[in-house]
Amino acid sequence: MKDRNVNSYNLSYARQLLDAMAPTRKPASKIDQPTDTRPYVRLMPVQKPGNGEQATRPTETVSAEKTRPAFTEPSENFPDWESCIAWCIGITSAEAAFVVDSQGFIIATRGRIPSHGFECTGAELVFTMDQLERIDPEAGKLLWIDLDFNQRRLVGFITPVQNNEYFIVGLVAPDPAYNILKPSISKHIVKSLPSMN
Amino acid sequence: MANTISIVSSKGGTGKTTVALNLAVALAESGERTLLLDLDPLGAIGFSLARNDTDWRGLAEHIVDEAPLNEVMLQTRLPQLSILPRGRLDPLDIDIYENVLRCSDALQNIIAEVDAEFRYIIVDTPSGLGSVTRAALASSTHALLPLQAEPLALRAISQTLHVLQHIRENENRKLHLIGILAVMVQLRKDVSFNIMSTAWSSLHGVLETYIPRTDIFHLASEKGLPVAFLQGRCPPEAKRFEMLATEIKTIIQNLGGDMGADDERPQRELI
Repeated sequence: MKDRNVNSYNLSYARQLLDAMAPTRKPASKIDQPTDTRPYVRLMPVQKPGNGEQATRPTETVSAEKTRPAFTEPSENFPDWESCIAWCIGITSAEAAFVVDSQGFIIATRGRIPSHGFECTGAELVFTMDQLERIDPEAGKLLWIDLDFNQRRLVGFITPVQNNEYFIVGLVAPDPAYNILKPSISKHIVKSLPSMN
Repeated sequence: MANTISIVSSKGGTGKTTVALNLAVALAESGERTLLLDLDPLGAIGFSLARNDTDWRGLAEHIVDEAPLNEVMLQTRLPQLSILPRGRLDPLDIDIYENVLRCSDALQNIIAEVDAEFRYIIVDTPSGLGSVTRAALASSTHALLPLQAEPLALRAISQTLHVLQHIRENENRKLHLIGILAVMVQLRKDVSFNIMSTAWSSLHGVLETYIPRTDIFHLASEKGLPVAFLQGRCPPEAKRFEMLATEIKTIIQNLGGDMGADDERPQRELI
């Protein structure tokens, strides 16, 4: 069970000094932002407006049956992470996929990964995972993280620990129907783990 | 004008020399003229790269014998990177060396002399917040604080910040804090994880890039090389330093640092 004790750091003075000295990063201001400032570029085509029509993006109100990507089982184990995430992208229609090791290193990527700031996402996913497991230590290992932001969905599958190492396979903006594919994704990744390490 | 970055920490063993060396290499490899200045009286850069601490002439010869800087400065095989080693300082004279750096304008004069030649001067300081570290901060435009991901280092960070603020207010108004660089991070270990969790959630100014603790640094140290120069595929740790160099350049640019005229390019023809 994880230690839930509060740590013994008093950083108020450090915080005070840093607030005065550290370079400030401009906070995202809604007023300053153009209407579409997503760091990711959607691969899904945007419908061009006809006369008198508004441009629309495909929304999740379209029936799941219609948006569900074609599912194809991999014929054999994945030889490496690249082929694994290529398959994941194919069946979930995700914009991008990546693999993070337990140190937070991004060890494989595919799709439209933003060039700036993405390195942190790996470490933050590992961090988030650990924090989430502390919510209910009796509930077992966390298997999936599903973060629904208002502009994008970020999903991660956490592999079992093998040789003292685990990985998180991340999917950026997968199709809503990805949910029913979870068991299959988990099964094939776990099955291929020995050949991918 | 060069951006002079002092790598400073009140606690010993936080990886200042490793950060200074690998950051200097990453900056140089990105095309920036860079000088690595070994201000540590123990000659840590010399120990990292040479067989022993009497291999190279350097600062000591310049200060004591008035040897010209261009004679004691070491041009590395990386064309953009030069090193100013500590020199063959007798360990018994370390206190004299420290006094000279504290009481004279020697360091400021050295930096002024090489200022036009380099875009970045990375200053490796000794552990602690003594006279040499304070002299370095008084002569620098920027400071980078490595934070070892362990409890004592986190508790000690206020000391370094306190000295930094004092020097900025009283001795060097041009001194800017680049940020806190987390080093020796082991997210799989509870203690290290808690430190990072605390630092990320509580402290403003922790850099996005962090340096993990891995065996490759021991290997590089054993061979007397920066991590990017080890044989084989470029290790992820070298990539980390490339990212660190990019992040630092962006921060310095945002702080109004001199990025030189290299960004201005003439119009070119593609076809």
